[in-house]
Amino acid sequence: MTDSSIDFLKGTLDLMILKTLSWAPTHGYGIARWIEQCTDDTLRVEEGSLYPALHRLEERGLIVSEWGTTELNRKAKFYRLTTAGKKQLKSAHQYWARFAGAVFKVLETSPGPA
Amino acid sequence: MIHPFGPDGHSTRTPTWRRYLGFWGTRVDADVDDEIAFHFEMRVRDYMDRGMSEREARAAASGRLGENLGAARAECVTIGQRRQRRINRQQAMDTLIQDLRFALRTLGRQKGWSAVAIVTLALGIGANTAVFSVVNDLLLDPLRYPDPKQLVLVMRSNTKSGIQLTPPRKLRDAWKQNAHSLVDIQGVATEDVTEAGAPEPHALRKAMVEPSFFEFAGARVIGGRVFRQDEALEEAPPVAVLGEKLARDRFGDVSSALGKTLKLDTTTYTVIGVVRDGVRLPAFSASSADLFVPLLPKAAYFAGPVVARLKPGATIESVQSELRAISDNVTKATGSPVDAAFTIVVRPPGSIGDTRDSIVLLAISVALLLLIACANVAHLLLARAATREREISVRTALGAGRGRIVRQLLTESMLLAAGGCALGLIVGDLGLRLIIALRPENLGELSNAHIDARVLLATLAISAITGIGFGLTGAIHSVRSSTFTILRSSIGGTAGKNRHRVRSLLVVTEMSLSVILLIGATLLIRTVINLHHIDPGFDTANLYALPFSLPQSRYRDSTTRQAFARDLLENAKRLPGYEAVTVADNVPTRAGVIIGTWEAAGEINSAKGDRGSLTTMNTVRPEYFGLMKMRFVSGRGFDEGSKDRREVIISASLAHQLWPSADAVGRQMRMSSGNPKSPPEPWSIVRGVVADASLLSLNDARKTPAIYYPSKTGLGWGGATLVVRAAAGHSPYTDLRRLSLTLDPNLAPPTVLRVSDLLNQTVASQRFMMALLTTFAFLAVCLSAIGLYGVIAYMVSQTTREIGVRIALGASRMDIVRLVMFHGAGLAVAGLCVGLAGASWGVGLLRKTLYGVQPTDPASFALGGAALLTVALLACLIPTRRAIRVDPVIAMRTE
Repeated sequence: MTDSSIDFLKGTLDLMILKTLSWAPTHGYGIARWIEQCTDDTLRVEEGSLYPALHRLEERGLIVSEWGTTELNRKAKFYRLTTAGKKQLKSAHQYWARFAGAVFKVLETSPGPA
Repeated sequence: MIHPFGPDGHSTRTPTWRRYLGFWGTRVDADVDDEIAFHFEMRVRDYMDRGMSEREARAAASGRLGENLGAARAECVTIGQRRQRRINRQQAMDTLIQDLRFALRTLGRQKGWSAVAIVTLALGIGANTAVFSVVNDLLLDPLRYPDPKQLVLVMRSNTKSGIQLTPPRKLRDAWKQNAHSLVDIQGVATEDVTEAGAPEPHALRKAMVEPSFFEFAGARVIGGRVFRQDEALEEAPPVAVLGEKLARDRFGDVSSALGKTLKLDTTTYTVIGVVRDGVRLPAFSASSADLFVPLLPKAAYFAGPVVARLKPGATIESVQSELRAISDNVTKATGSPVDAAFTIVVRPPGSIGDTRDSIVLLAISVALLLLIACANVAHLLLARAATREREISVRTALGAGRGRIVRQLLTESMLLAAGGCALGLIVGDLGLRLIIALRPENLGELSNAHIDARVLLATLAISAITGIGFGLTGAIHSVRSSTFTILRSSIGGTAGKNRHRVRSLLVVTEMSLSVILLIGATLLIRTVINLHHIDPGFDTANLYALPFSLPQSRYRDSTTRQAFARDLLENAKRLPGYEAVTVADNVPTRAGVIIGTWEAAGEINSAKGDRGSLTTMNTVRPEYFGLMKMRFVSGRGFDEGSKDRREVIISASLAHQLWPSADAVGRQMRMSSGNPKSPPEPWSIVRGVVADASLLSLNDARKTPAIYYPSKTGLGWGGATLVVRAAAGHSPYTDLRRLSLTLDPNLAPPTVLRVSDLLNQTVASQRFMMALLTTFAFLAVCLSAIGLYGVIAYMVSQTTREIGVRIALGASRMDIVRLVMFHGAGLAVAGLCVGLAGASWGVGLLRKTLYGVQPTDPASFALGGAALLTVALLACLIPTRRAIRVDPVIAMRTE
């Protein structure tokens, strides 16, 4: 993997975190599991990037955290999307859709008669 | 849609312990560890759900998490800490704004109360600001030269008589060449010169300095350049550096002044530079100059102390001994008895003169005033705390921490202090103007005093300290009184009593400080009254003087000077509206002085006196004594032949000193040369003895001996002074000015001096001190009376019920009066005792300022104490009236 692809992946991770939290607040593990389940374990979320990403998002004010207890009565840190986070999700979603579409077009188009 | 989180769905209930953590700053790293631990546990559970044994699951989970976890943790911690810091800052800011807003609202709701508190503080802070400006200007850094800590003043002093002389040029030159502990040493000479010009000639003050002076004094050159060494020579073409104001007045602006010329007396100077105004001079009479010219080698004397800059590491003592050693060599060579009678004294600037004690005393008094003001504000806060007790206890009960409440109360008092500070600066500025307007002549430099950065800083510090001081007192008091008691008991609980004790203590303090100020003021008032009754030894009614200083350049020889003096007298005699006119060398208080001892013919031991002792000297015409209405003890005044007969007239004190038991008239005396090598002066014959008079200052406690020499023209060493006694109702100002212009159109007419003003100036520092101390004492007494009133009124309101019961049980009005008054008088007397003790210790500082009254004068102590007691009783009157009007029925029913 090159450096640029890491950045690319980081941006994707942020987007997926925001999307996950848009359903309901949850903790870091919940986010990781949700992404894994959604992609049928195709995407494996690395804890080494997940938590720094969460903390950065919190620092940027896109999500907030709060300590709570799970239904199994375990204390865990829950993340919740803020208004700013919702806005960011919307614009990042659109951008990502256009970007992925564009990449896809390039990949799918065969060279024409030059 | 399936719920994404399965059995571990969220709940937003935050555990209480976490909430508390936020108050003390979250442990960011612990949080991160908890979070990761939770993740790990969940992962293990997940693996176990998929059928792994617990051990396998743990191994798998740690295998998965192990990658990059350390780095991730560190990154999370860093981010979290950064965020936490920002939050803390934000929170502190929010709390502060909230506190401020709340405080403003609270203070705004009680406008009258806040106004009283702020004005009280402003008085205290303002007075301190004004006086500190003076202290700053006169004592801390009077010269405002760079690196003030390394500066010293060098003087010659006669330890016995206390006379101080400025060191002569020859000594300065010797020091400059030989002293190793000095960086540089500078002396400044000054001269008042006349600028001939339209519409009238006028006087300018010229300072003669060395080229290096400008750098030494930190003068800012704003145009051209300063002198070169080769311009400080007799034969060099005259050049001048102008002060900015003079340059602008004469030439419009700085750059156009350069290269222009300025004719002063007979010398034409070329302007080579301009410096920013405000360069102070180490001179007795003139602290600033309009222009600077090079100090020529022939100038032998300076106008004030010599200023030296020490090398790093040199101490005042080491410099003093080095300079003494060098000066001893010089004086040994000359053999001058005057030089031998004086020792070299090195002191830091700002400590020369009698003003130091006065200024220190002022600073102390004004600090006392501030203490009283603070005590009063503390009263106000405590009084208000009584009404706010419920508010505070409710807030405490609702969960506000003590720290929060203390901070809130502190914010309020700081806000009060800030208000007091702002208003205090205005008061201080006004006060400083007032001080400058009232200032005695010997505080001459004061016109430069202003509220500068240092004063501002001191004021801010004082305000902050007072704010925190009484804020904390009140706040601690408020939170210490238990919430429980206050909520339950309505009034008069233990907290109330405790507070009452604190307030009583405050009143006692205020009273004692006021007594000290009152006694000081009384002593000074008595001093001023005594001074007013001094007989100066001559009649000052309508007595005026016009001192001409004749510029050397145009009045070079004795003949021209004599001619001027003769013309002056002839012309003045022809003026209408004067009872008598004469010309003399000087008038009181500007008498010339001779230093040395007198020798009486035939008295063997008469010359044993101190060679540094001082005799005032005047050169007068025969009509002088008649005009002054001086009284002869024996003998007669001069006649026209006195000069040829070498006759002198001496004061009673000098006559007594030389011939203690015999009449001096007809005897011979002369100045003792003290140097066997120089020929003795010829003898003079005493023609008359006049009563002692105030020739140097109104309260000349030493009775400085005086000698008068006869003269045909009245011209003396210094110049010629026209002395006139105007007819009642005649104003001497315009015609004497015109007379001067007629005699010499190129001479700036001298200022017409009223001799009574000159005399008053010599005691102006006493009047000044009296005015200030009386003002401070008045304010102090008012403030402490208000404080006492508050305490007694509070006591009455708290004991209304008790008073009602007493009245109902048959207590007479007198009993009630006694009850209330006793309480007030008790506080006042307690304060009085402490104050008297404090005063007897503090009045020593006044010793030099007082006249005709001892610092420990019992009458003044009694008067000051009586004044305080009277005011204290007055302060108790209103509450007492309220107490005797208590209606027992109403008093017992309410509550």
